[in-house]
Amino acid sequence: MSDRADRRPARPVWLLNVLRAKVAPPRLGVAQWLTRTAFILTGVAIAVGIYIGSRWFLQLCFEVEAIGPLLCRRLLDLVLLVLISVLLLSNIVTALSSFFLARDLELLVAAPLPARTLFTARFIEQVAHSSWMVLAFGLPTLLAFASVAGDARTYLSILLAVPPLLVYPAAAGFMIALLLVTYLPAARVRDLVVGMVFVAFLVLYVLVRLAEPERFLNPDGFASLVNLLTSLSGSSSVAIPSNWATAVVAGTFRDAPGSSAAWLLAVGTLWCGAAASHAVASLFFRLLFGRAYSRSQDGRRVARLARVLAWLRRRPLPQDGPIRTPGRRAPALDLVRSLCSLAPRGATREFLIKDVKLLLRDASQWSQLVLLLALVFVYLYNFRHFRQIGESGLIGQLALFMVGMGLSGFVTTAVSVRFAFPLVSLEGRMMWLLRSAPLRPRQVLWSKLMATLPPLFVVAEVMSVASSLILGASISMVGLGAVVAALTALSVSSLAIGLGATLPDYDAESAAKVAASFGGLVCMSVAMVVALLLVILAIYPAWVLHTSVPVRLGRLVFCSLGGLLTTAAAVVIPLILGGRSLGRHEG
Amino acid sequence: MVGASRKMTESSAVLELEGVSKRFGAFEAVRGIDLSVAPGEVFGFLGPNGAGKTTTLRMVTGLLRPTEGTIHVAGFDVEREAMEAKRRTGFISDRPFLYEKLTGGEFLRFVGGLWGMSSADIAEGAALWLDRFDLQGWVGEPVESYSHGMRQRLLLCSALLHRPTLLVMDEPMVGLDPRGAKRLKEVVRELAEVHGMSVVLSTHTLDVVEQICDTVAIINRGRIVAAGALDQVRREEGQRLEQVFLELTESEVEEGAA
Repeated sequence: MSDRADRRPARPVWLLNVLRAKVAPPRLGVAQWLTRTAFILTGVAIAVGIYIGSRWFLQLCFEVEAIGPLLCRRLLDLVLLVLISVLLLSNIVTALSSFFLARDLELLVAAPLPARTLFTARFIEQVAHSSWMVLAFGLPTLLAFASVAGDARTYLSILLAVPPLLVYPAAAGFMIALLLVTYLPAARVRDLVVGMVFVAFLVLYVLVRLAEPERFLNPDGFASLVNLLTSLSGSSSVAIPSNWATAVVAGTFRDAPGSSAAWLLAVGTLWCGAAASHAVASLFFRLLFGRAYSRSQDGRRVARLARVLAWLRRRPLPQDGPIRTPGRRAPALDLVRSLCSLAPRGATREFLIKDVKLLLRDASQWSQLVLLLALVFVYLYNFRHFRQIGESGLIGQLALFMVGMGLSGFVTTAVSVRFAFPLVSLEGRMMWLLRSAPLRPRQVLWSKLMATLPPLFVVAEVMSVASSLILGASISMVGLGAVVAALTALSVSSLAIGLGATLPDYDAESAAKVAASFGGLVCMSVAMVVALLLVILAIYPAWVLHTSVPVRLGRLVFCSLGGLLTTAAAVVIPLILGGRSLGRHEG
Repeated sequence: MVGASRKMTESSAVLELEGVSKRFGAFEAVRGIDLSVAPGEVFGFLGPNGAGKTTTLRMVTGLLRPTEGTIHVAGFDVEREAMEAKRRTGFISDRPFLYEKLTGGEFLRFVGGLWGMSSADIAEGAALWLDRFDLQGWVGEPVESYSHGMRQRLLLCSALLHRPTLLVMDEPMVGLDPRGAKRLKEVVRELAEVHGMSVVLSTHTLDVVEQICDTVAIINRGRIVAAGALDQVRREEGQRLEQVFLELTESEVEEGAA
């Protein structure tokens, strides 16, 4: 961007041209349309669920004598504060992608585009990308507030409050990203922020679960919630945009104190503040973007950072010994290498080491792994409630045991689709190397299975054994559960690898996108059916073990053989199909 | 042209293509190619954009399957004895995609593992080639911090690691600085003359072909329009390869247009 170009006024036509490429209707196949429709319908169902749940809860709050409206206002304040906080984190990550890592940036930065046009186009894209999901699930909650505490004016006030509210975190997120990139490489910053976001989410999630919010559903618990919120009803800081948005929306609540002039003032403050924050971000862009973008392209900065880290850790630099003593070696990776050395020598072991390293070094991957562990922990923590249900006599212990096995199977299936299914697709751009190497397709699939099966096996076994023990099942029942979990882990991991090669998405940019593809849905459906079948086949043996009735050998053989054949089919067929598909791949 | 290629096939060729065609739907990208590359020969593959160079090289390395014809590497059929053929081939793609989160050293170890090399051989080979291509100081750095030229050099190291009989390079000069390009030319000549390795390279840089190639083939619209030793292709003494290339490819375009 030259100085002369900078001085040119932003022409709307340029802005539209830059944005047009992003909003052009995609050409989708039937499978992609089906996937997209399924996602939209699922999203709508979740949004409706959030609206109904929020409305029910707000109705309870609103009906609290004397302090109902105040309580709703405080809740609105909290909701908007959480919304803007989540948006801030989301915007930092998105700003890094939109302004520093996007593939089309080279073209745009090199083009004679006025700075304002480039900034506005990217800013609009950033706001859209970072906000749509938060908004999709936040808006139903806000509409529930309007439905319970407001009237027709409240819907209008939400329309007035939400757009400027999105601008504040977007502007702040962009400026934070800009400053970070000025001092750190963009790819590293994104990994860092993604990791931080996941850890923050994780801590919040575990804390919320440990607090057991469902206890507020009983009258005693609800009273304590009211006390909590009432104690927070003091005046809050007016310098936070979420407070201004609260004033705009809550100003139209029924029986709300305050005049129309105060409401108009709040609207004006919110919009003027948003315009000002956009202007400041634009100024930051003009002053710092050129330098920051240039730095974000400099790969050597990564090496410089590595040298600083090596010095801080008092470790030898890489050039002290090429290949044999790589400077970036960490104890965790040594452990990984030791574990992987248990695998057969050759290509399989190298694949295993490579895949594990890539997983551990990609923040978007390992953070989800940590999230998964938290989910397993929370699942087991909550599973003790099932024991109480069993003790109450509502459902028999055998039925609860089967429910536990079904849930374990479901979690194992979901994990395999998220982590194992994308493994072959992720080789997309490297397929030239794998296809030109003296490797048979089955070796590739086998190595992927070796990388997937042990962790899935551990997850399945931990969930199965722990939930059986929590339910107070006998040792033989625990053993049966462990066998079913092992067969499930083997079946679904093979299904995920085999179908991942049969229905790959080599163009996807991330594992999450591969898992969410049409192939991912097919894999999820088939794996669920297999997991369910294994649980159904375990019913008779479990009944025999639970009731100690005489065994009917025919039935037991049928169930055992059925389980083994189901597993064999789930292992062999997808791997054969996947191997053939991989062998036919040209590229 | 036919005579030249037939003469080559009579020797114990490292690479032999016989009647190789490749169709993508109705489009015929490569039409009945016959080629042969002798041991220790540096073979330049020339042609305008979209002529079929990359398609041919990708068939040689087993990335694409020919619609018709056969390809042999060191006597092994690329389709029926794929493992043996691939074991003897090194390939440098025109698109240097690498695992971004691996270090250069880890990438070489991984590639060596795919070719079944022992750890000691990988370490020895990596040290040798990293040194030759000035990458030893970057071995512990993640590939994501490498420039385009460095990635290209790392690919060269990985392709040479297992000491292939046939080295196939698709546009290897792209992204290399003058020092890197000079080093590559020296290495290619050394591989051919000292180690007897056959090298097939496609390039648009005709000077490179004139400097390092023993034989060339010019492909246009999927057909070989000239092949043989450099002097044979030049036809007249003192004629530049550029002139021959332009004449052959332009006349083809005109014929096509007519």
